[in-house]
Amino acid sequence: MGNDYAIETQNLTKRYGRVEAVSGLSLKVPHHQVTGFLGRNGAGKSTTIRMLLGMTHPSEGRGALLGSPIDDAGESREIRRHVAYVGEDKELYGYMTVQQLIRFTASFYADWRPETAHCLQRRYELPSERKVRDLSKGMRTKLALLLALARRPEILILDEPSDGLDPVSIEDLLGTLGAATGEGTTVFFSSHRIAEVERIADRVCMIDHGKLVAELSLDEMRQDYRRITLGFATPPPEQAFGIYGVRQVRTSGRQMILSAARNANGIVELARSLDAVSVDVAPVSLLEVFLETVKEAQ
Amino acid sequence: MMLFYKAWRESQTRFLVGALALAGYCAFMVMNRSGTEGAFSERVVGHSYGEYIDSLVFSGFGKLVFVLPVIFLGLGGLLRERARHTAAFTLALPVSRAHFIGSQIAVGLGEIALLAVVPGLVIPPLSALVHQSYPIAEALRYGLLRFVGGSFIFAIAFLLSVFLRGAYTAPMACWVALLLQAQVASWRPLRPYGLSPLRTMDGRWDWIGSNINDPLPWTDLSIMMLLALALFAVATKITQRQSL
Repeated sequence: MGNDYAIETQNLTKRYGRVEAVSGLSLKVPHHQVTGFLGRNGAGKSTTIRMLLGMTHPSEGRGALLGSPIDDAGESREIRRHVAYVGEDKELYGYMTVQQLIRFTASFYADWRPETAHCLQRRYELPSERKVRDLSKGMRTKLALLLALARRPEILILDEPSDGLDPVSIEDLLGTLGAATGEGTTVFFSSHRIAEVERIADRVCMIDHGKLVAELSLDEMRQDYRRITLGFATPPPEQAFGIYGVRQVRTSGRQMILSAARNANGIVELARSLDAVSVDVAPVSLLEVFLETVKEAQ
Repeated sequence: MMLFYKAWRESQTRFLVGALALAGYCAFMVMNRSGTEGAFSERVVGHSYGEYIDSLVFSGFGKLVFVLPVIFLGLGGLLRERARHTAAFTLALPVSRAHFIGSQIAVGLGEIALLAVVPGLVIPPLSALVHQSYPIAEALRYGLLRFVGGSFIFAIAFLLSVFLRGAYTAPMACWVALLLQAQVASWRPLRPYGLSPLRTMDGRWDWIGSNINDPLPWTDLSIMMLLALALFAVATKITQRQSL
């Protein structure tokens, strides 16, 4: 595995007894982009992230962050100098004050930027002398973000970052993540809140039952993915639509709904040639793509 | 350096409570000899003040007052971090698991060394207040024995805490392990090897009749320290392989 991708995995698998939490996952996350890691609860997102960070050892397969293998203890430690992580729990050392935790974390990174830390602390209104255990979950998330961003990490990995945040804090978080790529950071974040992912992600990887079920660029999705609703005077010829670009076909009476990943114009032309009485082409949302993909995978 | 700070912050309450309990116990035994002798007459009446202190502070119940905080200081490892949901934050730091465990062990051993000298700091000055004397050299001698015995007990507790879940499972298991280990170590063929930390902390098999000039049981102490180091190595190995 080279350094072509910020994150790369090949056949990454994690078993807990008989349960396969992650199953043969092969991912490629490009540099300097925001990549959303979508999946339902229990799909294997957190386990994948824990394997990437060397917290959990893979049962099989390989992975690399910035070209360094994740399952080598020495390399994994070195990787963590360049990778920041904001975990799902957002639990930090409750017995420390905000200031103590900032000083503690800063001591591990030669590239720590005190002025950025000060600036973020002011922006997030984090009181220096408050014990971390006395902060709300939203405030803890902001503190975790501060600790991650004050180092200008090459990769920022976040696990369900918006969980427990109020709408204003979510806006702030999404703005921060979007801006991070401008500083050369690759953002990889897991979420099951599709609307948030759709707002800021450049790419999306979808995982279900531990398997990668889709990988797509959101620009491509917006440009190419379409829902085409066709009406026919007679029962629709379902078989005729097994053409390039069609992901899914659903028929209800004389109506046919096609989900297309490409070639919307070709599909419409075909429909007209088959005497479709009505043709409606609409863009699709990431939520629709996700639901279809997950359903298809089942 | 900050890992040591973290280990200290996480264990300081247990350490301070243990040190205060130990100091309080020593002070009580020195200041309240007549009352205590009434309760333990068969064990201490007729012996000198030094033997009274040896018997009830450095041996018997006094040993328990030292061992209990040592067992609780042994609570460490990543499972404890996971129970507090801080394991992910800790493991995301650019430090090896060996460093993480090593800092907990080093701070724990430092705290045990301090606990071991508490009686030496409390007993000689307080003895003067009740017109008695207890040699500081003797107290320090016990301090060394306690440090080594305590290190071994700490190592058992630490190892158990590395792989047993539950806040108090490891201390309870350690207590059981210690009792079993004492039984095994007192088995006649094994007795000469000084494998029991509880016995090693006495410095002899029978406390009455020893004196300050008795040589320290260096072989026992060395064996105990080597065993402790072996247990630390196993704890580190387990931690390195743990999936969280």
